[in-house]
Amino acid sequence: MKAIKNSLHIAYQYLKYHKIRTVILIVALSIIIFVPFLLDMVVQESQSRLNARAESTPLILGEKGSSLDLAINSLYFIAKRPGDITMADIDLIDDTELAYAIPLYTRFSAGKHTIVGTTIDYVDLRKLSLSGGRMFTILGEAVIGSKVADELNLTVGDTLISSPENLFDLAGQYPLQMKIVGVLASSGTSDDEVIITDIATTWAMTGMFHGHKDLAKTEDKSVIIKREKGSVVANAKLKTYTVITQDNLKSFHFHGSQTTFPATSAIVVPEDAKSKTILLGRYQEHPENMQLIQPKMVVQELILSILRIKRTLDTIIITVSVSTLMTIALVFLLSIRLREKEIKTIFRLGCSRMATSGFIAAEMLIIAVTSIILAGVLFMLTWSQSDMLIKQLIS
Amino acid sequence: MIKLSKIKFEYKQSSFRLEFDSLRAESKKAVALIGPSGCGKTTLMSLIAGILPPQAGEIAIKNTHINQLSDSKRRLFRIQNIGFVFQDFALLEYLNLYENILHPYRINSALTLDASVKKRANDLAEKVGISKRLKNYPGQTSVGEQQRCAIARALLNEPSIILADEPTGNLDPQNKKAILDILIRYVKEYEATLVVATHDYELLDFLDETIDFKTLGNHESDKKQSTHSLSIS
Repeated sequence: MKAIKNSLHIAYQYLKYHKIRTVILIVALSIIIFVPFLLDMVVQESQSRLNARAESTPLILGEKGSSLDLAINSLYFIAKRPGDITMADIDLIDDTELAYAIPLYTRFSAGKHTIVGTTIDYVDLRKLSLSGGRMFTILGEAVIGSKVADELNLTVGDTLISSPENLFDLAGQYPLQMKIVGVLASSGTSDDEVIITDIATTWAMTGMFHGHKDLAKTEDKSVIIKREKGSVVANAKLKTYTVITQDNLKSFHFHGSQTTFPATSAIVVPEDAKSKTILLGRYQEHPENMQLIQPKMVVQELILSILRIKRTLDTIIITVSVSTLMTIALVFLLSIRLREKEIKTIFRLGCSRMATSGFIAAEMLIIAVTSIILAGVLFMLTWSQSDMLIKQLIS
Repeated sequence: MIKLSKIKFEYKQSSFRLEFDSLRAESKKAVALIGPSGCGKTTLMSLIAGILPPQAGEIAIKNTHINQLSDSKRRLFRIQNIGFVFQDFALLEYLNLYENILHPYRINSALTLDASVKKRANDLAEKVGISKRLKNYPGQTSVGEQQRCAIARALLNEPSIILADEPTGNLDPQNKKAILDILIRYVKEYEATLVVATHDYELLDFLDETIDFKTLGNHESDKKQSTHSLSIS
């Protein structure tokens, strides 16, 4: 015990004196410990999250195109947004009576958080619960995910304004102020990072659904371009409401048929397995440029791709690790040669020549333990940002 | 007390041979080994220390016949009974002066490093005049300070034998005198034996006896008569 303590002491003094060499060795070793662990954990966690989310989402309806984009956008509200479908397309699903459809409209955002326009069925499907407040009941109300609440420091009663898609598109965008009526309890899914509202509220952001003063009753003639039988044409001076309240709610109205209004996709929940099979069959060769996908299958393909990439990365990491370890071994071998004089001195003083091996072993131990601790700290720090890493990996 | 008799030693791949009948150095004595380079001074000290075993003969230190001990027991004996002062000091660059003094206690568990040893290290540092430099590394100190540190290290385990190879070789006259004073005072106080290998004839006046390798056995000085018989070929 005394010998081990002394060896560790001498090794520590040696490492302390050769600070730069020690730091380089520790950092190099930490990286080759930390990176494979991180990669493994990120892949495992991604796999598990992808599977969990996909398994709880039976089918997704969307425009034909990349099934991966459709699945990832509908499950995680990230990646490229597929082309819009219409509410009529979604109604067709309901009309089959084989399933019900939950529309999702993810065009808008507030800052970096996506605004998910949907129906209350989405909340039920995802089994989302509230940590405070209540669910949205009227237009202009929204509930926010737990991370949105934390990051933007928002709570029930606060308001949130949707971001314009393009700063210069002044006429085409209707930034809307939404009232936060509830905060969702953390679910550990992408729902924590979004704002959920009624799909009509997101339509209000497109301008298709809006509210303004009653032109028939207005006395301000400067806003009227012309009055015709049954219609009034107003100019840009007419103030469109940017917030939906109980007072102005009645003035909100749709322009055009609601069936033509857009959605990004729809989650389709079949009545049973047979209904699911029938629906998938019907949409396999859909003439209307639509696709009905099974997110689980799409995600499996994505996981396989991720695993293929991981295998390649593993090979690279193993090669780099072996090379680094050999370099470290070389550093120690050279160190033994450089310490020949020390070895000779301690032998003459009365110590075994092999004792120097003990000092070098103690050095290796200190470096290895410190590297493991540093790798652990790096791992913890990186893991706290795992959501971001997983998002990047998925998208 | 050191007693060597009928010693025969030669290196395997060298023509160097050291052979002598007897050599005796008493306690409380400081003995000089003089002679030209390569004459065998360092070899003789290595034999005394048990670093090199002789091919024949007896080496006794106090009552221990060290040539009869195994290598590990010789090392144990060495670290407990012998203090070394090397010509190049052999301080470790990565240890500060204080850690260098304590170093023998860290490399062999036969010596126990406790508070009393640490106090003794501090006292020795005070005695040799480096107490204010203990946190400095050898590279940050002067040659004289390094030499003093080497002496403090050699004396820390209170050895009965001190083997010093050119201990004053790199020092100015003032430091040389100071170092010798410290060593000789120790020899008297602790009843130890000091063996100094040197080329410096000025040192001889400060030492009790001289063994001259060149005259093969007999060296006479004004004050002392050596009693050793050496033959080297």
